[in-house]
Amino acid sequence: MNQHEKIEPLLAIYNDLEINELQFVNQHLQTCSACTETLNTYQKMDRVLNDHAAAMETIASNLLLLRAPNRSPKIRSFKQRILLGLKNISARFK
Amino acid sequence: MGSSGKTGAIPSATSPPMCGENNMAQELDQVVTKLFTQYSTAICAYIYALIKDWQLAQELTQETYLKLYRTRSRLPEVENQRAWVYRIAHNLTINEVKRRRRFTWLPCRFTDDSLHTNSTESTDQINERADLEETLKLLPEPYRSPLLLYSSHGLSVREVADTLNLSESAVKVRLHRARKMFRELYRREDQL
Repeated sequence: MNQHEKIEPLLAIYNDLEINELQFVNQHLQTCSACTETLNTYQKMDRVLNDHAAAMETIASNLLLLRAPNRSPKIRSFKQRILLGLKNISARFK
Repeated sequence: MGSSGKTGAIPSATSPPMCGENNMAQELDQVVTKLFTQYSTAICAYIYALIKDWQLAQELTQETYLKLYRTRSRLPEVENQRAWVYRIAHNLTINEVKRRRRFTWLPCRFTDDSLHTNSTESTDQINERADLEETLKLLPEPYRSPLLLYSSHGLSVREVADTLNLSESAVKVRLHRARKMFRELYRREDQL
């Protein structure tokens, strides 16, 4: 396994590297333009994807109308749901 | 629930444990509401990125909240609450997609939601978004989710592993492959 093959998978998680891994990668980057370019590409990729997610979140917040619940949802038991269903049906025939 | 499930029972001075349980339940309710308020839009955006259907994404976001509420008793054991919320949303989405594939004879409501736009976006931004979404769609699901969680939503490798129920090393491998695929597929290479 050459140096590139060792470094490349680490570039994919550059922001999440341990200190010793980061030192190892940075040392290699000083002498390798190909890996530096790959890292730049991955960082741009993160930026593009992050911007996209932010735009999606804006749309999502408009769609959800931020219905932040004021209270906990009411969880009904099976029996309660049956009784409620029967009540609704009988109300329809009244 | 359990012993504190008796509604209408007035806690007396001789029953402090019940009061403690009620406080605990109230605290958990507050945590659930806080989590939902904090992550609902991000979760909805993540679900949309997986299925490309805003209506279904909204429904599944609500389902996520319900599931979160139903499983709130497990929250104190949860190490990373953000990963927990994403995990619930991810599993619900994957199950829904599987269910819809199984019942293919039913009219499938997956729609092209490209009409939903952010009013502040320019035409170029909308086109860029379409290209990006097309590229994401081409990525196989095992690679798309880790990339979305890590790069789009800023989760750590550990959090992605918790969300997808994978080992950290599996996440690292998938992220590496996902990035390579994305790089090859993305049309706007000038931006990468």
